Amino acid sequence: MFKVLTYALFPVSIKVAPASILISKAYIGIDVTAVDVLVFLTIFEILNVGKWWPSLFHELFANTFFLWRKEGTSSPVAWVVGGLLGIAYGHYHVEMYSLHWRLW
Amino acid sequence: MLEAFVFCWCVNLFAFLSFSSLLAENACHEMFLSRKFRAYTAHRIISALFVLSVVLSFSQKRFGFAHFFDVDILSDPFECSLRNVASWENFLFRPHAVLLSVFYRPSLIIDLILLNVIAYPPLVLMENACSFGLGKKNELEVDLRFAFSIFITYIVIGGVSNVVASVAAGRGCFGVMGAFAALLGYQTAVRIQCCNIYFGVPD
Repeated sequence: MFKVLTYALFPVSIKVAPASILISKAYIGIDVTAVDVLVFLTIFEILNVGKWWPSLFHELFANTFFLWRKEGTSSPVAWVVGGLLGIAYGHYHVEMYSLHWRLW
Repeated sequence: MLEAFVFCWCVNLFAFLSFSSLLAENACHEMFLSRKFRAYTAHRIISALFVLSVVLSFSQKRFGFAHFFDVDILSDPFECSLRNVASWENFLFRPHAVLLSVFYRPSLIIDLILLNVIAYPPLVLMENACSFGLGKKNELEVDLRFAFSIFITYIVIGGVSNVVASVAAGRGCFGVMGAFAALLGYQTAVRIQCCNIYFGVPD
């Protein structure tokens, strides 16, 4: 039942979250701040670790704030190698199209 | 199963519409897709590929598309998504996985922000460099030059830098940082050779 409710309400809650915050501010008087949203995200993350369906949520929102998954991403070696190869290709591009002193 | 599929694609569609268009249109001054703005068009295509790669990586394992790409799979602590890894074995036997590894990184939002902040100015510079000296009759050649330059700088150099990082780190690496570094290096090289950073931009 909880799963079904979550399936049903998760996209709806994303869609109407800003509207509900505005409505609560205007009519009910509850002030939902960004800190509350972060607390909700944290609880949501902790409760649902290991299940497949919150992972898209994790991917889109929580990973921006909580960088828990760092395995496998590019290392600084990729920065250095990519930068050097990019400089080489830039020089080749200038030579290829004879752009010395000409682009501006 | 069916509702999970519908749920997943609804959320993905929402993500595609909101993040891509919001970030791109706010950060790129509301230009439209056209030949007049090739850099912006390339930026939008890369953004769409980011989101599409996330969608595909989530769909593969859940809905059985893993055989579709036939790539080496990185184990995930959340057991939720598949990634194309630029490992040495993939470089030898599945080169397309190396190229595809450029388009996936855990943080989609950071990728989109960095694409706007870091990668867009080099794309504009590249468009200027490719269209220099060619009139309006050679639009197709400018298109080809620009597309080829982006392919080399972004995908090939990004994939190769991921392979080198994989060999150096002893684990399969993926990500877009090598490609962004390549674009920054391209910008640096062209601007230095055209002496823009020393003498300013003449009118």
